Amino acid sequence: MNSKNQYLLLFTGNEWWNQLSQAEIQEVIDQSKEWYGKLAAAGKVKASQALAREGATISGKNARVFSDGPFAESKEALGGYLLLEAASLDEAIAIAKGSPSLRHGTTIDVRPLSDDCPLDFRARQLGCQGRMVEQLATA
Amino acid sequence: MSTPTHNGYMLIFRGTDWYKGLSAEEMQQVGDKWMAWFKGLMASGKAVAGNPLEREGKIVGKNRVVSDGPFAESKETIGGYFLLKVNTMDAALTIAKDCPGLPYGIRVEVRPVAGECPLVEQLRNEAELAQA
Repeated sequence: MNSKNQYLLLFTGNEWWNQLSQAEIQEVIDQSKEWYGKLAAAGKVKASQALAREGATISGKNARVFSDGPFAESKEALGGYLLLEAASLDEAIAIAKGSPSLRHGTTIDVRPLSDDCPLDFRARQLGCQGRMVEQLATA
Repeated sequence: MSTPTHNGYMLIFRGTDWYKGLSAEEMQQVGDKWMAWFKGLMASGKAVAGNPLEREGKIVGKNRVVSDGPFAESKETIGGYFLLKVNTMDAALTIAKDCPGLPYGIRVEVRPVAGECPLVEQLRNEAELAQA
């Protein structure tokens, strides 16, 4: 899984479009299409999907299901994602700044994809620390 | 919620602080289980994508202000995701329940992927209301 130069934009917000008129919604749609179209044409978009405003959360040893979820209209929830191919975090941020959804209150998290499972990384770090301690002890 | 969908489901893994208390061996074990879980799902065609995210990143908010974040260790921070190609919420929940991170405090959000942009949907709803 090569994730080099891939950035995930995570769009979080409430359902702000419920407050807009048809004309305003149409305007955001047109602007979004233009923004997205340019990115896609430039080969920057790897994938993009919206999430339905429903779902469930699972947690705990017994895998309990909470199906009310954080998806009420008024609450902030993850609304969708866009997987970008970009040269750097700065380019990914610059792209995110162009999103028409921002002025309506959406927040965009810009996150680099990782090649490495964070657990492997942490285990390696700990293993490495262990070896360093050993080396220091034997030095 | 039980409406079948052809768009699939997203599993969102929340929590980036849950493995801090584990030893290197325990972490290796959970990591191995996790990889085996993911590879099994990919091999059976139930998962079509998945990735861990780097811990650092930036947040772009109102007025295009860029701030640091997410914060390194948090219960809410998204640590990674899977995209599932299954047709029902129950099937997605069954898979999510197998997440090897659950006993350690990770939370798995299970969300249906939307068929269309919510803006387009809203516009259509308003148009239908106007006609009614």
